[in-house]
Amino acid sequence: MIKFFKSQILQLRKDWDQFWFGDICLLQLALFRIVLCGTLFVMYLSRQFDAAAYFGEASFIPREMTLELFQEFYRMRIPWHFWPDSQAVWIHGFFVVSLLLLTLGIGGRAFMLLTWVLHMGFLYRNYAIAFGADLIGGGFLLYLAGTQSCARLSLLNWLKLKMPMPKQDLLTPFFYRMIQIQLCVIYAFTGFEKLKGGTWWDGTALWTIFANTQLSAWNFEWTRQFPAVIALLTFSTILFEIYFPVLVWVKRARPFLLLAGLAFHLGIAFTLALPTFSAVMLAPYILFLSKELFQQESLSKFSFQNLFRRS
Amino acid sequence: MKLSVKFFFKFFLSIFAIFHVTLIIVLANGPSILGRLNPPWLIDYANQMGFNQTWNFFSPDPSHINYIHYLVFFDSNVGNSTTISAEVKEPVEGFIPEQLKTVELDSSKRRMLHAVRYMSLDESRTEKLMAPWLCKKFPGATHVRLKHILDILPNLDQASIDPDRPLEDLIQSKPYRTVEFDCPSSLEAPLTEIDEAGG
Repeated sequence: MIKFFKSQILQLRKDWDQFWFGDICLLQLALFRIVLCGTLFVMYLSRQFDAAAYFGEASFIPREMTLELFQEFYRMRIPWHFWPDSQAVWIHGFFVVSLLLLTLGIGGRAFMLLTWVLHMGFLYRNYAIAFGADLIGGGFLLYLAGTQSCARLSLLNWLKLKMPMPKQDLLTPFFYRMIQIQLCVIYAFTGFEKLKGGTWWDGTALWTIFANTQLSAWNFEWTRQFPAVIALLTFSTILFEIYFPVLVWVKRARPFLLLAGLAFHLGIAFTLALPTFSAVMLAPYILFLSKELFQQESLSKFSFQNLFRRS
Repeated sequence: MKLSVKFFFKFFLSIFAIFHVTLIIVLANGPSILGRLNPPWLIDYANQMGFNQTWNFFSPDPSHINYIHYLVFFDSNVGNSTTISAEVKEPVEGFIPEQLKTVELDSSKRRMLHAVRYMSLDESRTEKLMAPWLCKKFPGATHVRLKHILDILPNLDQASIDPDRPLEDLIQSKPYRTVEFDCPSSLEAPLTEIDEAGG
């Protein structure tokens, strides 16, 4: 009996070790970095033109009220926006350039961390204008700062300015897993929150979204002729969000979950004109793909089945 | 020696993993009893790092059409003039977001739609933030009137009864709060470089 428990504990320790500190593929991480930082770069490049209005002295949230507006439970103690409002446009410009450099693989952990600080500064300086993509992107950026995300697919490597590729360290797989877990937490709780809503329960929530001309990119009035389809899509959304966090870890179910997620987010990007939100949510999917796919020497060996083999 | 350093590092990271994952799960439902039981320093950590989030997108229910209609008065337009001016300007009317009932494809401008929702979560914010901001935006303004309007969309049953009836006929416009605000005289000086993003 004792022997059995001992072997179980040893196995658990081995599995734990493998999960948090096992080998991961740096190429996948680099691709994730490109998609995430590239998306944030595009999103904040657009915001650059309104940086004075949102974060400058003319912002509708006066600087002294920045933290005061948060309920006590959600209020941070030390504001990240250390710069004066008069410099907000320049700092925002630097932030946008940082994201471009990180997309190109120029920078490292410290630079990524600095970029995250700037991101948090702008996010909380004017929280009223925050998108979901800002909140999620911020979390991913912080985790990414703990990894060797610039080790591969870097412009510096291409220009041969960097030293040979470093060996994978302990922090990289650790934060790689954190990104995966964070995605699962986001899906789970956005699904649970929907269960509290009457329109999600009765299957008509998507109609409210389609009919809302402030949200829909196209005229979806015609969808009222297909209530069953709306109900099906509404319930599928909840089921997907609630079950993704569990089923994505099941080897056989993973391909279906990732494909469903791809369709779901492409749908959001197309119908609600939210391509950046979709890209930020889809970026971590890269980390769920089979690492064998990225270790192949040549793309000629590419096969669809390989894409989803367990990593 | 090297092995033991690695072991302790892994041990430390493992403890941190348990701590952090528990925290992001508990705080995703922060207002629950588990969230409230957290010691303040833990909440401070989560707030500082941006992990005290509830991740409620389009939930618990998707929002209806939401906007602010404002009127900015100058001098004696509203009958309670606080300043004397030789020239009486006509009131200025506007909406936030500017693109009232159509989707804003410019992601930066679209943020103002989120700002309006942010105001609607706590109506005092309209008075604290939007009204003084409009006073600054329109130099010489003496009074601002803001109406927060909610266009309630018909539910699917109502909308599908008569599919040929335009949806606009079924929308119920509901002004649910009006804010009257006297601009402080100190705000009458124009601010430089006020962008038009806010409408």
